[in-house]
Amino acid sequence: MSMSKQKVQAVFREIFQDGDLEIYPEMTARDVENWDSFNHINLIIALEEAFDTRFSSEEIGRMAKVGDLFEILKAHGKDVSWQ
Amino acid sequence: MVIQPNGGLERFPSIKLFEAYLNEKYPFMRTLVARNYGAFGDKWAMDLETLLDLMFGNDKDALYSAIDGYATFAMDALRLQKRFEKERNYIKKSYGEAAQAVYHNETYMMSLYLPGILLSHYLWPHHYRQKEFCEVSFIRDIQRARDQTFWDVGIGTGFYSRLVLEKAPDAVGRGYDISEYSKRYTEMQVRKFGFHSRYSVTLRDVIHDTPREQASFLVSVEVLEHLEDPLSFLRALRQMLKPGGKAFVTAAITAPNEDHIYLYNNSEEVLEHLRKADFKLEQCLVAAGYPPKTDEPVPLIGAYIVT
Repeated sequence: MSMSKQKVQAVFREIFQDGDLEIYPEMTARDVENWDSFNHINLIIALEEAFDTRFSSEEIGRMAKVGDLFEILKAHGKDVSWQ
Repeated sequence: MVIQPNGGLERFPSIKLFEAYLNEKYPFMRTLVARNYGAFGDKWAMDLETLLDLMFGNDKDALYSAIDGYATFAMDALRLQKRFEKERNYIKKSYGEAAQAVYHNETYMMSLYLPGILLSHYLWPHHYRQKEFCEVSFIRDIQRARDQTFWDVGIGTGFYSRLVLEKAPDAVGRGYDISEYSKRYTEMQVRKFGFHSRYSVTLRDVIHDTPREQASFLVSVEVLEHLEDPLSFLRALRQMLKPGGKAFVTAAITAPNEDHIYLYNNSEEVLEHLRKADFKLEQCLVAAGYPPKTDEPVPLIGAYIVT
């Protein structure tokens, strides 16, 4: 697993308090218990800290799937990949 | 048609469309509709269905655009609330800066801010409770009055003007605001509901140019926190209300937003301003957007019926 995927996954595991959570590109809030608006914003803030970046309002609304999140991080110049 | 209480959302096609779009595009908001329906029941659903039908009709693109506006507005507010939990202050901004960034910004107002606030009246529990409080405890007095003239000062989306016009069929009103986009949005809403013959909007800063004409009823919803000096505004409202008249005034408390400048830390601070402006409290409601997990501040509304 790539370091960047591990880094994103670690954030997910912390926010959703699930040490076994495995992220995948098509994963959405429908697949994760307690992924509501409050945890969405907690996730965003934690990812911003982990990757030292800042997402725009429009980007936050566009993160329906975990794959979208990776694409947005790439657009921020972050070296993220699934492999 | 007689609708049985809480008989299911299937009878509300516009709400189902709304819910399906949220589920697809904003899955983290997928429970929003069901949660509010569970809390407020069929009256909530009928109110929202009417709003969606009259405001958007069969124009799905307009509905989806409004939902996009709401989603951005709501996530912005949540992000600011997270900051507020740590800092306990609003991001410093002058009224002029807020006006430039928000009230006079056509794109922001028409595509995000106004649709966002309009839908929040149904999707944020404290906003819906505020609306119910207004209907039950304030508009009923308008319905019974001989003189049903009202001013709505700081109309925003026009939601409360429309509500008074809808629930008090003999009411005649005038809205005041500084934003031409609020004027445009309000006029559109009032026209779509068919109440335009009983209502008009005037662009005016009532603090610096207070109208001399007085009304028996006055509405001012979530304006105080947008001002550098809310007490001057309340004193202007006092002058716009006839002796013996009644006002419905509300404020956002510990609730940051892009254009919130004046921080009310609790309801008592709002009441203190109302008293200083020579208003007397008749009834009030304080409601939270959601319960706190521990002792963190949560967004509140304070709604006050004053004479």
